[in-house]
Amino acid sequence: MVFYALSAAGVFFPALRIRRLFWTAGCIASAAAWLFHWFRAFGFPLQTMFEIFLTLGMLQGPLSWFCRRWLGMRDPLSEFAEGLLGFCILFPAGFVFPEHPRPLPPALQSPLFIPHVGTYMFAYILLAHAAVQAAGGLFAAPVQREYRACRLVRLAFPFLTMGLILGSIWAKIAWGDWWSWDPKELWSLTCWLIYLAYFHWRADFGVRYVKANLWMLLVGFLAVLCTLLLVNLSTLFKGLHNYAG
Amino acid sequence: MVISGGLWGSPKACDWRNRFGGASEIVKGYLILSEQEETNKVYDAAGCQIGSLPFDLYLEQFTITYYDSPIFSIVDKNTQQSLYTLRGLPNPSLELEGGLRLEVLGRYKNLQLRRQQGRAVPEEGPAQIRNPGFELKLLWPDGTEEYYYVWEQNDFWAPPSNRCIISYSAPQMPRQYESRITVRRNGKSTVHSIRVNHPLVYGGYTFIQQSWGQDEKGYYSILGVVSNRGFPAVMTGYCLVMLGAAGHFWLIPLIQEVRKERRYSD
Repeated sequence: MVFYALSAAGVFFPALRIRRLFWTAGCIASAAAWLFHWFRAFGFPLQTMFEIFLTLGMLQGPLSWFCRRWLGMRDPLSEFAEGLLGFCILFPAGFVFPEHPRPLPPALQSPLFIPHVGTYMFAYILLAHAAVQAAGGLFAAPVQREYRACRLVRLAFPFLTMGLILGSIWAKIAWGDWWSWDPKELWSLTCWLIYLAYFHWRADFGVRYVKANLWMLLVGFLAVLCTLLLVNLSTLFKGLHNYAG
Repeated sequence: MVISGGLWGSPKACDWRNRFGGASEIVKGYLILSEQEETNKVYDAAGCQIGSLPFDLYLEQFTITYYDSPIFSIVDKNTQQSLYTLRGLPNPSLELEGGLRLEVLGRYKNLQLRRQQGRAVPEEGPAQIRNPGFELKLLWPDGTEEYYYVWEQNDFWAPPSNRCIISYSAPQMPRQYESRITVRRNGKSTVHSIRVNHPLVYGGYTFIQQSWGQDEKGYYSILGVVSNRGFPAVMTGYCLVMLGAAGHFWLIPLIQEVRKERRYSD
């Protein structure tokens, strides 16, 4: 977390050339923490909120590298986002959620557990990167940043779709219904529909109303946060996914 | 395909098939099976019978496995101080610190005590009632023998002269619930295991380990029964959606990128 924070701060001091070093140290430290917890835990660490954020923190490094290498995200904002997201993702794991591992309840002992949650993890990190680009676009270079954000969302959307479908198949196997109108399911569908609406909007209008595109991406990410956090932590939404809290 | 499959397997479509097609399908319900009992009757959530399956299900055994072990605490009766805490029981005996020896003399499915010549004698009670218990012996360094009877249902008995109390704490963290089922159809029997997330697919239905309970006869298992109508169509639709999303958002841009690079290199 500290390494990622220093990496984000390093963007403001390009002459020091230590940003990449801190970022690499952050990747290694989060991967080591994740592996350490995996050995201690009762199964693959995706069960509690602590494990979810630890896994997100572990994935953040390789996915940032992928975005930099293959999607050309080498501008200062993207590099700042790499460090900032690493810090923001690992903060709840470090200071908010208890870390003690819990045995996997029978309801989660399914071959679909890792693919279902894992695909969402990939999607959420990419969408977080897209949201940072969209937020940056509201202040400067909106078209360029919207283009970058769009590339990220195009990469994330199939993961989001797979997560939704795998969840539905798992629900059919475990509960007997494809769809249960559970709050988590509804929020996941809401995220998917917002990004789907964004693609349709973009296909129709391109970047003519670029601020609207950026706001749609931000609203989409707000729905992602609600799905990930609010549904599990708020007592407002009682549902079938309560064991994840 | 997803929508058509979903509609084909919906309660409404099932209702129409039953009404106009003369079918007797069950779209969703529950089977309640006690151990060593057989049934084909399916109930709804309110407990009303909604139909019968064309085959019988016999519950051989329902088991719960745990991550943790039961805890036996040996407490000094006078000082109320905990002397020993054991995770599980030894088989058959264990030397404890201080020269004390614990022996397990018997494990019972339904432990009952009978008085005989002023002494308590353990025996196995009727098999249809579950009340598991243990007969334990503590051998003190001075040669004194003490007998204890501990039940899993937080019950305990020992002669008043004994120096200790032995308490039992049941394991808390279930690992899995499993129903061993025999399906009987036209004189043929097949044995299956149904666990949470590992349902049985048989005869056009999926049987899901839904819940369980315990009554005076022992454990009973509640199995969810769901019709498989429309399942292949929905799965095909889902595969197409996944392939379509991956193709449209990943493959086509990748092909376009490669083509662009080739054009530049030419």
